[in-house]
Amino acid sequence: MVKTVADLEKALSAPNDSLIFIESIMDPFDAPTAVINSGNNGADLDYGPRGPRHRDNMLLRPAT
Amino acid sequence: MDVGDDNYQAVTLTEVLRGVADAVPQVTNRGTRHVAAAAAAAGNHADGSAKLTKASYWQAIQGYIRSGDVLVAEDGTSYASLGLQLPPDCTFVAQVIWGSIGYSVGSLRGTLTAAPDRRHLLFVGDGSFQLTAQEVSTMLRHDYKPVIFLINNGGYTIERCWLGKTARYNDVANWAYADLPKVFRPDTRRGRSW
Repeated sequence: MVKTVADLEKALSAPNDSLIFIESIMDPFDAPTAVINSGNNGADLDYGPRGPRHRDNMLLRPAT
Repeated sequence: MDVGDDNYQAVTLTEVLRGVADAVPQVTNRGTRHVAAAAAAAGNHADGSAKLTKASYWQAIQGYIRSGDVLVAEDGTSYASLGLQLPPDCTFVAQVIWGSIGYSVGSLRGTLTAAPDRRHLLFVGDGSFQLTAQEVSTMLRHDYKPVIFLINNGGYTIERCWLGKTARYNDVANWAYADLPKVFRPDTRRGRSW
């Protein structure tokens, strides 16, 4: 598994003469803002104005 | 079809798409929007010892892609690959609209069969991968040589953006993913794992 940028770069430099499997460890709350926004917008669409997501800390939101 | 308060009858999808294409300005300098922005936010990783983040991850992937690659992207946070700037003659395979998680692993097996002379890259998260992981066994049996990028972030991060940021139903079991090639094909040394 790879945990750092250096680990990943080492894995990417391997010759592609067989199947390559790279498992990258990342934080569960780390996601691009665009992806987070798409999820938040989907929740609005799914649950409507009185949906459960409005309770405290119920969904991952973009960093402010 | 409804557009605001207006209703249009007997409209085909072709006509809709033509109308959208005519209405939207042409983009000639589409860049690495998500990737560039994320990389800028990631700061300096010159020493390489920094903990891997989505920003530095996709920045490294951007540098890895080459002309002619086939990219298969899973649902969820792998959507970020939509922000990559692809070199000429690449093919991008995804099915965002159905949200059918796990499809990408089987899809990779299909693209490998259809175009065995090209390099194939799979971008998948742990939650989706666990649904269809056994297809890697078939890939090894056929001696296919894809590059599988698996993000292990403990579950369904895209769902945490929807509901249940810390809910257990968004967690998945932590597999020994890098051992899977050995599990699926112990009779050979095919497969490099990290």
